[in-house]
Amino acid sequence: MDRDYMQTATLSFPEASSVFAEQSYVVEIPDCHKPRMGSCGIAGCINIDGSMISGSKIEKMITTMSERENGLGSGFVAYGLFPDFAEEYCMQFLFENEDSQAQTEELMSNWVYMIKDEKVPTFPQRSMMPPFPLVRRYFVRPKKGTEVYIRTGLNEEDYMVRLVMSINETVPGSYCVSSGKDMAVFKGSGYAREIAKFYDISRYKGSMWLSHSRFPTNSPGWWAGSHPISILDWSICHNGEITSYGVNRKLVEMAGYKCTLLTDSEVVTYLWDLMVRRHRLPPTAAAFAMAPWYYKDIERLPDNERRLANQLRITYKEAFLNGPFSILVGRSDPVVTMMALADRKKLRPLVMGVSGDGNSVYAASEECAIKSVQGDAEMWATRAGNPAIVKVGEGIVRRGTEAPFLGAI
Amino acid sequence: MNKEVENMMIDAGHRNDLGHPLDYRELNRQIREAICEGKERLILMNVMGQRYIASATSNPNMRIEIHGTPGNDLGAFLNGGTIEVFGNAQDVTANTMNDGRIIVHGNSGDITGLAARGGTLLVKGNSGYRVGIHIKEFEGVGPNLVIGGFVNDYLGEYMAGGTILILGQGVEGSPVGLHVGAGMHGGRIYVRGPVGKHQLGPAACLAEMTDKDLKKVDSLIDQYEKAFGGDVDRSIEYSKVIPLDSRPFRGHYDSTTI
Repeated sequence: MDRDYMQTATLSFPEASSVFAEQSYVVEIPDCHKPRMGSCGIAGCINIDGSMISGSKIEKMITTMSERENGLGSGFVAYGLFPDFAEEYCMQFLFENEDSQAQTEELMSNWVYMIKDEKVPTFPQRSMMPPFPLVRRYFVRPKKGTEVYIRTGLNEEDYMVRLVMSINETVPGSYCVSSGKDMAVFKGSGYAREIAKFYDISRYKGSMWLSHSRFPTNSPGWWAGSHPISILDWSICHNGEITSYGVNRKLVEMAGYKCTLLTDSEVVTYLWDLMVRRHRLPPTAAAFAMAPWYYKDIERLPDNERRLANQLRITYKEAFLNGPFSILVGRSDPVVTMMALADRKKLRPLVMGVSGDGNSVYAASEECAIKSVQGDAEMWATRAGNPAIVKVGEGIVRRGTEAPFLGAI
Repeated sequence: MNKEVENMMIDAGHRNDLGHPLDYRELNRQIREAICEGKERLILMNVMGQRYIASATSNPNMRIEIHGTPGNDLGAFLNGGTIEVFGNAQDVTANTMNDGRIIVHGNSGDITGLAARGGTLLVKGNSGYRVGIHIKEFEGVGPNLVIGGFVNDYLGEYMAGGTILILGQGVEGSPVGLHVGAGMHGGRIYVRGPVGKHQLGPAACLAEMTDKDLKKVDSLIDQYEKAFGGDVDRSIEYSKVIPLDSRPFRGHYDSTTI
């Protein structure tokens, strides 16, 4: 990250809430809970039969790995949250103040019909650092047929992406943290346990949850920059560093995405959206483009796969994510899907687990997170650069140990 | 007369007021306290990701049983005694182990046996990436790592000494990944099964098994069978990976060095 970003990052929400105006924020933290060495933690769970999982389960998973976080960000994403509004885009916002909310609503009114809007219940914790943002969600439908819509010449999804990008870029203090159907992101600056309580995660139920606890190394810890980072129905929890950020950013910016969240991880979200939704690559091909084999190893593949692998490396060379990472990817179009991918040298931890009855599948940085909620889980590890894919209704499509491009659709 | 050995049980299962598992420092404090009191047999129940368990323990009679999932850096700097895990171990198990034994009745994660310099590590199942990197030996004392299943890439990278044995039980084809022994300049890797040339890293090469090697492998398999029971089929052919040279990067960085 260059310095400009670091400086603008400090502006986050200077005067939002006065909840604790008269109280003392300084809480004596016992020695054993002071921030210390760590690294990001990621955790996810999905029920193959589509049955609902309580938020308290994912909360237990991510807080089991409290060793890995330092209190500068955490977040959760749930899929299958709003069955009553499953056809509307749910745009969830962090507003710095009422002004940014008003400006955002004004901008949105030209672009979308607002079917419903509501305040997201939040419960600021004494141990958290104020100010707190206003959190609000809007169920919207694109205003098709209007002048704005026609002028953009975009399809519905790209139109929504354009709206999110223009809000994040142009409205001061307003950040759209999720914009997909039937899903929402709950994230902020704090420990995982604090963010879970801030949003009261246990009140929500979803068929899939992903979560992240943050240990920022090269970008600032702040509310909108926490993970999961989401666009449309995509959400990404990322543990690692993208050292090729500059190149990746160039690729997504040329495709119309705006990088506004001051973190390298957001390019990963846009890359998935670009390659899989817009370019219609199968997820395994997109994963190969992000974490490709070495050329000398590609030589050993059978003819067809070798050609495909070489073409992907050449066509999507700007999508190659250099540096250590392990990511969890969630999407719901066409079915709720969890994908887990580690970099091509497996420089960040990632383990998978499946419950004894085969219905619940888990992914996490550490096995203890999975064993804490599913004692009988059968564990396995994905191979480097090899995605594990789990779908509601279909089961474990890929275990992440297969040859490249298998189980691609 | 046999000394009566007292079992001491520590339950790591309860969560603290923040909802986190018992803090690793608190658990390790209890373990060290028990060791200082002269306890020689500890049973840890419901372990849930606590790190650095039994690090730097040095009493050779010490025996620590772990039920649950121990966290990263299990037995780091272990200097004596036996740690037995009934379950899987996470990453960086036996980090810089100096002596003693770690027995894992399950799988172990990535970077198992990082920089070990002595002692024995037995893993019943599989392990991950970068197993036994930078392990070393001095004056005939070195670590022995035995993995019952398969391992992934970068096995024995930068290895300077010691012995690794991969049994590959239940694995079809090669039980090791790519870049085996990349940059190694000492020690030996025995693989029960085939290792292709393309799997070798720079500075490693294949060699014939000698009688001395077979004797060493036999003694390690004996230990493995004793720890986990069962019979390991010894008729499968071994591949042996050794360094090409004791100075693989001679002249690479400074052409004036000898």
